[in-house]
Amino acid sequence: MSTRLPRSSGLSLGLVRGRRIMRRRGHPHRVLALDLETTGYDPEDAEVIAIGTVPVVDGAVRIGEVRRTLVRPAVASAELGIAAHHLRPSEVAVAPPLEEVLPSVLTTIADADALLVHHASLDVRVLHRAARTTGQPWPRPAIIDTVELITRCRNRERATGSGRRLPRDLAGARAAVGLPPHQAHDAAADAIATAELYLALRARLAG
Amino acid sequence: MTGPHAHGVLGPEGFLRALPPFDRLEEDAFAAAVAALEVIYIPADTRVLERDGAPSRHLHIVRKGTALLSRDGVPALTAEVGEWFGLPSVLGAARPEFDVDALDDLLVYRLPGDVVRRLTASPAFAEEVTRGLASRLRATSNPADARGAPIAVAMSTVDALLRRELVTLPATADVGEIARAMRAEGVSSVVLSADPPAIVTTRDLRDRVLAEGRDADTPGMQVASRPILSVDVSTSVTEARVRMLERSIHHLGVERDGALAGVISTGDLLRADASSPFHVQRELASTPAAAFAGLPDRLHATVAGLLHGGLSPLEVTRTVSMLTDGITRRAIELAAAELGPAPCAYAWMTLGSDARREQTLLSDQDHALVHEETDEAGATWFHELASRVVELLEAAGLPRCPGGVMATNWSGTMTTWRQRFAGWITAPDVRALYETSIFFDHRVVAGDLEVDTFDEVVRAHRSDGVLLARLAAAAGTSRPPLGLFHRVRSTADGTVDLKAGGVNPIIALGRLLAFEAGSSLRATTDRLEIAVEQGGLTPDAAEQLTEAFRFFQQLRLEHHQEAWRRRAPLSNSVVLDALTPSRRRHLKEAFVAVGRIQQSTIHRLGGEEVSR
Repeated sequence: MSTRLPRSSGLSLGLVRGRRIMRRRGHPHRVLALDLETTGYDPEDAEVIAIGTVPVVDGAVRIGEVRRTLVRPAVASAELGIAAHHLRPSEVAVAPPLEEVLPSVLTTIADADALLVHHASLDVRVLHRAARTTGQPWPRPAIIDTVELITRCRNRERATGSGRRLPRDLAGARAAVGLPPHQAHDAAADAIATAELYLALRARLAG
Repeated sequence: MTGPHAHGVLGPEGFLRALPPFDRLEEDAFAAAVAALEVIYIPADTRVLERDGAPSRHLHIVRKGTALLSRDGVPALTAEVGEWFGLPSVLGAARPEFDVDALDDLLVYRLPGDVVRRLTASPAFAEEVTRGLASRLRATSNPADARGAPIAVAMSTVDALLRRELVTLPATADVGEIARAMRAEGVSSVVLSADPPAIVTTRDLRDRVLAEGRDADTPGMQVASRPILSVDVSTSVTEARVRMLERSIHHLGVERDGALAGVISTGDLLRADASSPFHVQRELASTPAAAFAGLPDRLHATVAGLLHGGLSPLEVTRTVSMLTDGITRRAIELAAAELGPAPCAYAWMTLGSDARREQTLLSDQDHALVHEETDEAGATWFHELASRVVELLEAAGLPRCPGGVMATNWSGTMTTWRQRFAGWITAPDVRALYETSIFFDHRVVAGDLEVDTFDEVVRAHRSDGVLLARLAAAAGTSRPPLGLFHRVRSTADGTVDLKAGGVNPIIALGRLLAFEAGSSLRATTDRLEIAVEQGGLTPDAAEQLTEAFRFFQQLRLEHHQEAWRRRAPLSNSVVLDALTPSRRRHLKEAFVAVGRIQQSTIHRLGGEEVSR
């Protein structure tokens, strides 16, 4: 999610029971950056309305493989969230429901060595719950969370007393590491933005 | 996509879509580019490509940050947002010609080499890529007819447009022979004697030969068009124009008794047009003083038409000079009619850009008078003439020269002028030498006194090494606005002065090199050409300067046009961020080329010693 972080951001990733360790030396070969646009911030009832993914293979974001999938929410009263995401209700109304699009998303996740999300706790829990309710196996991907990478940068920079503190939001963090502005609230654009931020943070932590 | 921040929020696809030459790609080709597009992040101080190392596998387009291209540790060029590197290496599968390092963190969009090579199959894309080559071709096929004397009348049938014999070659001619024939004859098309005859135009050489990567020995018939679309000599000019527009062709055959008699081009039509400069020229001969105030609008409209018609910037500035001459002659005629007959023979000299036939519509008056020996009354007559002409020219949109270089202040006999020239040449102050250089570019526009002797004064000093060194130092007075790592330096308000930083250094070089060559040619591009013949300049350097000159003049003309349409004051300063990324790139390349050639020429002639 690229939106303002909710107060409940302290959710434990343990619930997902994923492998969340990034190898210390060498980076995963194939990482899938993912962004969800949802109707709210509560993982228990937020509905997915758009899924954006883009693979990062050997440090290169594959723009040709960007996927943007619209999803029709089960509850029709999700229009508030839709407006915030620049999606027209009519667009979403003709989109396939989540159970239809989820299998291919889960396969794409399974094909990757790690799943990359900005503020993973919300999006990963929403996806995990969706898999459970539609009766599909959760591929248990290793999780890379750019918010967590930001925290590691902040800790390191606090230790060395260098620089300003990196903001935790996607747009703020990107600006702070010198990345160009992006079209926020578009799942595909946010996924690309997350992938680029990941590459920048990765280089910063390696340095 | 216009403003500086317009691609601020574009994703990779949108950014590429807005970036020339990708903006011109067909949908399919663009989709193929996006499908292969990748984003990488390169931390500062990383070496991206190594000179003579492995060929680049990708074209790298900088999205954020600065890459430095250098050779043997000497910085040569930077690549910033919208600029790319690795292209020659990718296209030729060759070893990189530069070391490329990330000066700061780089966000790079990259395209695999095979995709880039496929993209260059698109003529629009290849044109940008082969820009250097294409301009070389343009330079050799420049139609000479635009230099000739103006045609007096607007003609009614195409017959009257046929001003030369058909240029034909055997059907077996290859494209190299065709290009050479075009250069030798000064034409933009050649007919091949096949049955039916076929035509090859300069455009064909660009689109079907250069852009397709074909060699000079490609048979001409492979790139020729036939049958040649033709009209009879009795066809009206208007009809011919419509035919050409309908078929989107730039050349049209003209038949006499069923046989091809000649070829007319869009340029020929333009000159026949009633709104053409030749028409304005004709009108000038009878324009009353009261109508001078209306001239600026006429001239701007004419220039707009010429630019729109695709005339090269140097043809446009030649035309503006021609019209300025017409205005000056008319002003002199009107003034002299009131003052009575001249007391003795004289010459009205135009100076500077007009003398070089490089005038834009943002130009001061620069002129001087030479007359035979006369008495005090005679001198008064000339001063009165000059005052009236200055006023008329001012009314016609040519402001008074702020430095006072006008015939009101600068007149005298041949003897006086010869002494002045000799004095300037031997003046010890380099700055003074530069300031008086405007007098070295002079041309007589009215009167019948010969002033060739001034060139002889100059030529007598050509083997004077000390003088050459001082002139070289003077040529370094104005330099391209380049900063560290060849970044373009703009002023506090983000502007760059195209005249001071681009045009003036090239003009000064041309003047210097013509001096060295002992030539009295005036036009900068002609001077560069003679310098190549005399060994003062490499053909490559001359081409780069010519191309840079053309580019700066084009930008200035367009910029003036735009201001004129907005009724804003004309200026030679452009806002750097308002230029498209590709224009910015060209601007930087042009400044860098000018700076490099300026420095090496000054060095060769010992100008640095003088400045010290």
